[in-house]
Amino acid sequence: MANTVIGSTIVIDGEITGDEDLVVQGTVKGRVSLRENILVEESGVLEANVETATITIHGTVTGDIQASERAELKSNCRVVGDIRAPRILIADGASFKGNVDMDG
Amino acid sequence: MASRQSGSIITTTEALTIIGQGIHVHGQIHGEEDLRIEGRVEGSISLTETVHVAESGVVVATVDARDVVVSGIVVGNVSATNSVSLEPGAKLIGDISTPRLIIADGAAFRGNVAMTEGGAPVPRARATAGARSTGSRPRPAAASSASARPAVAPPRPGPASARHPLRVRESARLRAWRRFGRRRPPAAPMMR
Amino acid sequence: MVSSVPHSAACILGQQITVRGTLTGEEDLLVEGRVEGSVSLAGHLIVAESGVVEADLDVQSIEVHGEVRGDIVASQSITIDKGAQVTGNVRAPRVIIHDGAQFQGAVEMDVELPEGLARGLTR
Repeated sequence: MANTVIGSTIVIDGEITGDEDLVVQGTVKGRVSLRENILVEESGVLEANVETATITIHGTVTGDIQASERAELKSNCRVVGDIRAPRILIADGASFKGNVDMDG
Repeated sequence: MASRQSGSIITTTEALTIIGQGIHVHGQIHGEEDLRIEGRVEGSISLTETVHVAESGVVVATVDARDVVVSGIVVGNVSATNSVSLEPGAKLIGDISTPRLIIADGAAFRGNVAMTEGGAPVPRARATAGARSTGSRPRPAAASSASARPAVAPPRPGPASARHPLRVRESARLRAWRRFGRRRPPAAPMMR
Repeated sequence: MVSSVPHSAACILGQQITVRGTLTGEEDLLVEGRVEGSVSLAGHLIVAESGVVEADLDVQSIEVHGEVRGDIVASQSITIDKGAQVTGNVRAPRVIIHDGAQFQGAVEMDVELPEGLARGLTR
C-alpha cells in the first residue's frame, strides 16, 4: 500500500483518518487518527491531537498523543502535550513538555 | 534520517505529497507542491502546483491549482490557472474554470465550463488575479504557455455573478435548453 | 483544405453557402459554410474549420473544428477539436474536448457516482 506523505510545503487544516502509514514533512493542524504508523520528519509540524499505533517524532508536535503501541521522541524533536502509550522512548536531546502515561 | 529500527516504521524521502488509498482527509489542504490523491479528501484544496486525483481517489472539495488532472472522482468546483484534464474514467460534477480544458473520451462530466483565456470573464476571480489588472490585452495566440495567463476581466458587480459569469447571457439559451427536456438550468449549483 | 475531415459526409455545405432556418436530415453533413437557425440531423455533423454554425443542434454525433454558437444535443457524441470554438450548452453521453479548443457553456453527461457518494450528495 502506498505511503501517505504530507510534503514539506503542504498544510492540512482539518482531520486525517485512515489505516495507512503517514509521513509528515509539512504541517498538519487539527486531528490525526490512524491505526498505523506516523513518522514526523524534522521539517514536520503536527499541531494536532494524535491517535495512532506508533509515532516517531523528529520534528515538532503540539498536542496530545495516544499511541496503542509506541511513542518515540527522537533527539532534536520538540513535543508539547501529554503522551499516553505502553512504550515511550525519549532520546537524549529531545525536548518534551507534558505528562507521560504508560498505563496504556 | 528516518529511523530504521523497527520493521514497520516508514522511511521515505520523496518530496511528492500523497494521500494514500487508506487515508481520509477532512479539511483544508494547501501547499506549493504536487499532490496525488489516492484516498479521499473532503473540504478544499488549494495548491500552486498540480493536483492529481488518481483512479481510486475521491475528492469532495473545491479544488484550486495550477493544473488539475482527474482520473478518479471529483465533486466540487475546479479552478485551474493552467489546465484541467479529465482522463478516461474520470467523473466530475461541478463547475470548471480554466484556460485549457481537456476532456478525454470515457470521462464523465456535468457542470459549467468557463474558459478564462483572452479577456473572457474570470469566474471566481482570485485575489492574486486582481492584483495585476492591466486592462485589455491582445489575445494570446495559444493557450499553451502559463505565462499567457489571461488578461483580468473588468471587475464584476458582485460575487454571485462572478461565480456564474455565464448567467448574464443565458436566459435565451436556457429556454432553448429547456426545450430539450433538461431538468435543471445549467447554471444551477451542483452541490448543496 | 480541411484535411482532418473524413470524406464520408454525403452532403456538403460549401464555404460560400449560408443556410438560414431549419435544417433537417437523415444523413451525414459537412458544413464548410454558414448555418443559422436550427439543425436536426439523424447523422454525423462535421463543422469544418471554416464552418460557422449559429444554431441549436440536435444530432446523432458532431465533430466541431470550426465555430458553433448554440446548444448541442447529441444522442451519441460531441467532439470539440483543437482550434474549435463552441459557445453553448452541450449534452451527450460522450463529450470529448481536445486541448486547444475554446468552450464556454455547460456540459451534461451521465455521471454515475458510487452509491455512497451519490447518496451523500442528494438531499
